[in-house]
Amino acid sequence: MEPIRIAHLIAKQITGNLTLAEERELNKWLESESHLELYHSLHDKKKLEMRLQAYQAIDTAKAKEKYLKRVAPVRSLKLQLLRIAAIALLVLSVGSVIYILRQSQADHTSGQQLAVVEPGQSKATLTLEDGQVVELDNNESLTVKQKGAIINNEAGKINYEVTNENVLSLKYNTLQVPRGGEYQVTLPDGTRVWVNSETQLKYPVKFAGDTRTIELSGEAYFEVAHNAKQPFIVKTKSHNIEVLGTTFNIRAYDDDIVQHTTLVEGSVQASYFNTKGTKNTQILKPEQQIQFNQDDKQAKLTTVDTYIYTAWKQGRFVFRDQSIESILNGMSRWYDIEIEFENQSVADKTFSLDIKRDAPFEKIITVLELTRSVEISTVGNRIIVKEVSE
Amino acid sequence: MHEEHSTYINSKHDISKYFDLWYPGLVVFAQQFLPDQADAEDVVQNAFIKLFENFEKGKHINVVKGYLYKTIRNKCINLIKHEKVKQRHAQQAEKESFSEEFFLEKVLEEETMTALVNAINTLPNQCKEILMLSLNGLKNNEIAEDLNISINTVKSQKLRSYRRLREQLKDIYQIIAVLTSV
Repeated sequence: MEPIRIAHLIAKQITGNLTLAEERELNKWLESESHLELYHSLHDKKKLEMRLQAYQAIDTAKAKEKYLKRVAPVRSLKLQLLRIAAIALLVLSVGSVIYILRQSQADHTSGQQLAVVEPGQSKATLTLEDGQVVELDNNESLTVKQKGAIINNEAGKINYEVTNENVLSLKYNTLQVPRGGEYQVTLPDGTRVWVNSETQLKYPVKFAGDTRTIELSGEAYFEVAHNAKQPFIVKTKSHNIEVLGTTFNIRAYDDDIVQHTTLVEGSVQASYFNTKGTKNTQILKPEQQIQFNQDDKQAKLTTVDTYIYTAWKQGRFVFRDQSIESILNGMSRWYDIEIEFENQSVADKTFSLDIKRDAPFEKIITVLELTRSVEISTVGNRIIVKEVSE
Repeated sequence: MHEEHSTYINSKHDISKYFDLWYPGLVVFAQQFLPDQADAEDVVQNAFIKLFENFEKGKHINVVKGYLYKTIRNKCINLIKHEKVKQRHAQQAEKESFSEEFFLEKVLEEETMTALVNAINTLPNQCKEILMLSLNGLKNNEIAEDLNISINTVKSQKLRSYRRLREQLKDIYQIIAVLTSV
């Protein structure tokens, strides 16, 4: 509905938070005389002041209580009895679980705790050209010198300072982010890369030659430094992306059948080989996504809301109308979990979600269970999803 | 450019999560047709019930809200046309308030105000107080005197308020209310 959209823009504008594109949209709407008049009336501080008072004078809590009572399901006596029985059973079984746990703890002198599934954190390993492996994490700053570049590690990020030494051949570093990890790297040309869990990125410590070529397996978000003379190329198993300077996200996990690149800004060229071995190219415009099916080697171009595909980089998980199976699979690398479904029908239930990535997994369970359609239990890092019968 | 307009409601039980945020604005909206607050509240309450009963899953949040606005408008108009209320209403005013333009204008007004008020309500108490006084037209030194705090505190709290408001409005349509409890 258009007024809601416009209202949103005006509210943002009043607090000075409008993007250029939104400003254009708003200005277009303001071209009409009557719109302009209305618009000015909304900037009236008295109007806002009046609303703040009017809203406060309304007893929303009471109204909500009334609403909740009216929409609450009517329970029959039989159902209520069943419910009490179920609770009694639950209490009994919880009791026995606690008993069994105590027993097993008594058996193991180490006394293992019930694990909480924690979110991922900044961690990675860096393999240098000479095979030396450096452990990276959030807490420890460190500087590594190698031929051609100095690497600085601080607060979950590494960057490269190119030295003047002459390097004859390209020297490669490999950044490996494990499950439950993420890391940021600024490459020697100034390109910034956000590297997601279970991802490997291989790049030279100093770019030389006609192109800046790097290799990716997994997921990463790129802000490529502009350099028309030396195109930036990302190679993945299913496709290559060639750019001059732009922002995009690539998701290319080996075990995902469909891999994709989502363009946020600028322009990129994707190239791939079909089953006959012929090379195809496709130019992407902003907000377009190209999907490669690894089985049939076909590519598909669609327009998407890039927020969904890049939110991870801002520390959020965003899913829209997706099956719980694909949602939890999407989270499995970050929380390092394995997922099991009671049956396919529960795996196919769809949800929308927009949530912070740094929450412990238990919070996500709480949110999903609020819908009252699934029940989720955890055994260590194994997640079991069951259907809730009405 | 892509963060707003991105929320869908998937279960009718999630409607209640929006109730607090939407209810006051919708009541004031209904009062544009029916001045009596109790009448307006009844209409809004019934519109929420109707939404719950006719809910179709996976609808965009703006579509849902648009549905509420339309339902409220229609109910108000029906009530006005119906018996008693009619006598209190001048013919001319009635004609104007039944028009599509009037409807869209009021939706826009209430949406803007709801977004702002909801954002302001999330501010810490002192920030909120200062902002309200400043909206009343008080100058910084007057606010400082009023609240018995330093001018610098007023300035820094105002700055903080605006920063917070910006953040709030950025997310306002983006976050599913279910998740705000997390």
